This record gives sequence, C-alpha cells and structure tokens, in this order.
Amino acid sequence: MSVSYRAVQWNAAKKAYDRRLIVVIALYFAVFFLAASVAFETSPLILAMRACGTAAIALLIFILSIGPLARFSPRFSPLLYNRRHLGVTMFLLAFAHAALATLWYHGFGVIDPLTSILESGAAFEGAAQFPFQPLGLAALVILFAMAATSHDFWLRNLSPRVWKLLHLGVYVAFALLVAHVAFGVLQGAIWPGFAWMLAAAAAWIVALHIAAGVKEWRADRVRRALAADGWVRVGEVERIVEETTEGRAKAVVIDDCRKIALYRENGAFSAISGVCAHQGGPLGEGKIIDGCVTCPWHGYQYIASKGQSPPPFFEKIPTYELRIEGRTLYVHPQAKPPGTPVPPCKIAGLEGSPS
Amino acid sequence: MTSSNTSQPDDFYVGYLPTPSRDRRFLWVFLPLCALLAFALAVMTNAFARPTGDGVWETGAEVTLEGELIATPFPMLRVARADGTVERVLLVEMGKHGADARVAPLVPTDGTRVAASARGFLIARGGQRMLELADANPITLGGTLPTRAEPRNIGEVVVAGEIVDSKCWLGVMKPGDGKAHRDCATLCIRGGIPPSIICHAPDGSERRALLVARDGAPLSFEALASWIAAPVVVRGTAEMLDGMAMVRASEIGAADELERAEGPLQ
Repeated sequence: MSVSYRAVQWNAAKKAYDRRLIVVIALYFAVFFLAASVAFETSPLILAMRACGTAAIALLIFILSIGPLARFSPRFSPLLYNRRHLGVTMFLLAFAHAALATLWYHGFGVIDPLTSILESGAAFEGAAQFPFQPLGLAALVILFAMAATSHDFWLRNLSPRVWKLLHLGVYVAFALLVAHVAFGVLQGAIWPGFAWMLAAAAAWIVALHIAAGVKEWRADRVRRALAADGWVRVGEVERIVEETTEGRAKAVVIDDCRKIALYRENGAFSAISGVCAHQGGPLGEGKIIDGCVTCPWHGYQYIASKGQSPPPFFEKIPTYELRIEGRTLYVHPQAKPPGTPVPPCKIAGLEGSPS
Repeated sequence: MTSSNTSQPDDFYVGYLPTPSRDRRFLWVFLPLCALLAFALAVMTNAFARPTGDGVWETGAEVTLEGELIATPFPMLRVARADGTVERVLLVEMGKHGADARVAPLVPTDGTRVAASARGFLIARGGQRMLELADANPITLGGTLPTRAEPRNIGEVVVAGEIVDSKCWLGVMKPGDGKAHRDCATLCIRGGIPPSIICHAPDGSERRALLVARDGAPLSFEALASWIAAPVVVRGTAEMLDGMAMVRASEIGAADELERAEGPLQ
C-alpha cells in the first residue's frame, strides 16, 4: 500500500523473490540448450523459441497453482505476495516465444507476418489441421492486457472489481494455450508422453481450483439465524472466544456471499468486511500487527474499529455493528460505508494482550 | 506499511517483514522441487523431440556453381559432378521467395540451352542440394554446359507423405516439416519456393520428390494450400531428372480418406 505510485515498490522480499526467479529461468535455459546439444540438431533460434514457450507455460501452471494452494496452507503466502512479478515475467517469455515464431515462421514472406498468422489454416479440416497460431495470439493479447495493467495504478483506476475481472482472463488464456499446444506442436510429437503431461497439467489446475472452491463453499455455507429486528446471529460468545486468539479473526458469511471478519483485539470484537480493498484478499485470515488488521496477501493494513488504513494511507473498507444479547453475538447485516468508525464490542471478562 | 515497534509473529507472512522461519524452511524444499520439475521438462522436450534430419544451411560460406540454367518447372542449375554424372541444384532467393522472376528472363523459351554460374549459399540434405542466391547479381551467363540428359520415366505412382517447401526441408528450418512448420511452408510455397512431397521408403529412409502439375508446370498455390504439412496421398506419374525425383500429380487427397477406401498404405 502506498500514497503515491512507483514503478516497482521494491523491498527485500521482492528483490530476493525476483533474484531467485531470474536464476531459475537462466538455469532452465542452460539445461534446455545443454539437453538440445546432446539430443539433436537445430538452430539456436528455434531452440530459444521452444525454451521460451515451454518456460512460459510451466511458469503459468506454477502461477495458477499458487492461489488455490494458498487456500490450503499459509506456507504458500510468500509465493502469493509477489505473484505479479511472476505474471509479467511469464508474459515476457510468452512474448519472446511469439516474436521468435512470428519472425521465423511468418516473416520474410510475400505477406506480412500478422496476416500470415490470422490466415493460418484458413482451409483446415479436422483436429489435425486446426489452426493453433491464432489461439496463441489470442492468449498473448490477454496476457499482454494483464501484464500492462498489473500495476496498482490500474488496480485503483479500473476499480478492484473490474481489475479482478480482467485478470480472471488468465484462465481463458490458459485454456487457449493448452489448445495452442495440443493443436500445434503436439500434432507432430513422436512421444505420447507430451500429450499426457499437458493433460495432467490442465487436470491439476482444474482439480486444484475445484478443491479450493469446495473448501471455501463448505466454510461459507453456514446458515445464520436472524433475530426479529434483522440482526444476524453469529454464535455463542464463549464459542467465538474459543475459536479465536488475540489479534486473529473469525470469518463469517452472511446473506450467502458477504464475508465479514470479526477481529478480536484487546478483549473486544470489531467487525469489518472480510474482503481487502486492494485485491480482494481474505481479511478474515489476516492478523493484527502493530494495531492493524494485516491482509495475508499483500500486507495491506486497516484499523479494525475504523475500517480504514492508518494515515497517511487512505484505503477504506466497510464496517459492521456488533452487539451481545445474553451470551450471543450478533452482527448487523447493513454494512456501514467504508471507513465508518464503529466502537468495538467489549466482551465481559475477556482480557486483551498486546498483538 | 508498518508503524514503529513492528512485530513479526513467526506464523504469519507479511511481504515487507522478515519471512517466518517455517515459511522459509518450507520454501527451501518446495521451490527446488518445482525447479527440478521444470528442468526435467527442459530435458524431456529435447530428448523426445522429433529428429530434424542432417540438413545444413551454409550461410557463412558463399560458393559459385557452374552449369546449365533451367527455368521450368522451377529455377535450377544442372551441375556436372567430377564423376561425369549431373546433379540438379534448385535455385531460390533469400527469405521465402522463389527465383522465377530472376531466372525466367535469362532462359529462352525456344529450348536454347543456357550456361551460367550462380553464386550463393548451399542448403543440403541427404546428398540433395539447393543454392540460395546471393543478393547482388548472383547469376552470370556463360561457362560450360553439362551433357544433355532426358528425363527417365518411372510410371504411375501413389505416394503417401507430407507436402513441404523444399528450402526449409533441405536445411533452413530444423524441423522443416510437421504442423508447427505448416504456416512457414505455406508462406514459402506461396512465395515460389518449389514444393516437394516427403515420404518414407520401406527401409525407413526419407525420400523427396519435386511436386508439379500433371502437365509438368508448377502447381498453383491455391491447389496446394490446404494440403501443405498434412498427411496426403498424391497420385500421378514420376520421373527422374538427373537423379532428382519429380512427381506429376494428377490427384492430391487426404491420407486417411484413401486408407479408408483402400486399406493401409505402403
């Protein structure tokens, strides 16, 4: 989070992350070229094209795995933190692959390269002839749009909702790339293992997302009773206290889809939106650090009782009123406008401790 | 963003704070495993790649060949070998362009034989050669003509294989066949590079034959476009031109359709 835009907000973690990424990609290219020099003969340009293409798709599979894996274990959070750099790197590899293929296969001819790509397989018949280059081009356009708008400038100006929608295009791009490979290079492969590897990778991504979705759905499907005046019953106070620790939250869902995070701080509870204003991170899985709710995805922070970031930052999230009746905790389903202070709901006999 | 008295609990990762030791330990195992998987992909991509043949493209060594200049069906040079036999060396321009526009005006249509020397860069595979002409005045008229030879008729043939552009297949691209190369082959043939059909002999060796129309003229690009880099069957007659095979196609069709109709192709 920041009060001004910088090209890249470097910190020690991002630098270490990117250093390792560059080293792994450099090693990948070294292994690729070494293996090629032993296995068979071709031109360095075609090798570079293949190395970029395979590296891009391997990186894309890795990127798409991080999100759902982080739903299962917080150990994957460090990978999530700088995922945008992975995405931009993957786009650059895909672009290099496309540029080399366009130059080598579609250049130097009697029509311009782009026309050659778009005319590809104009008279195709059946799967074996299905044109695969336009599929790759369409995926590249999506990846470009994502890479170009990856900066927080676009996140803020497009609005998180539109930005997220745009970036969900990565799944369309992935499907297009699977088809690009399946209808392209795999048609001439002499080893059936490549087709199985691609199928396994696609199945892995689909299965992982379904599993993460089921996990979320199970957590979200709890039906909550309404009081006569419209307040929503969260649960018995003792139970909620047992389920939480100081500085942590209980995540609840009301109206089937609205996520709320009930943060326990200094012997009281505050209710805020469970969705981070930055990229929609799960605030219910965050932690209070230095008096601020901290999002597990990118470390955006909010003062729980105010629903806003500490000055000079200006991110705001909706807040909710809480009340206790008898030994039951209720939340009012009407969200307060983002940044509206709401006094924490004190729990009698519950002592706080420094977070 | 943090205030003073920053605390970093050991179980919660925040990017701008030190990484918890549990996360660090986990990543030190997980990430190298991912990298190893990626390296295995790099090795397998090459280890199980389709063979690309022994073609070469000698871009660094300009050579000059002398012989009889031929314009039809495609530009070529009949070159006398040291053993007295003659080979046909196809002539093409740089890029994906045939040499018809350069060669046709130099060869009279009345059958008069033309001696010439051509300067350029050799492309060769399996003993068959092509010359990519140099960019400035690559053809000089004059020189010694090789002995005349008539084409040797082989008769009716049915050839199952793949239509490629001769330039890429002989060594410019590796591989110069297959679906990934289809658009390149299409662009080459559209630009005038002679098309060939590649098939496998019973002993597994690859054979190449120039592909022309039934009357011996070049096939139109429109007639070939949808068959390039696809499994096809060509019916027609074959002949040998100084050791270079040429098929005059009377019919081109999809290989699987013919298989369905007549059983497995040999």
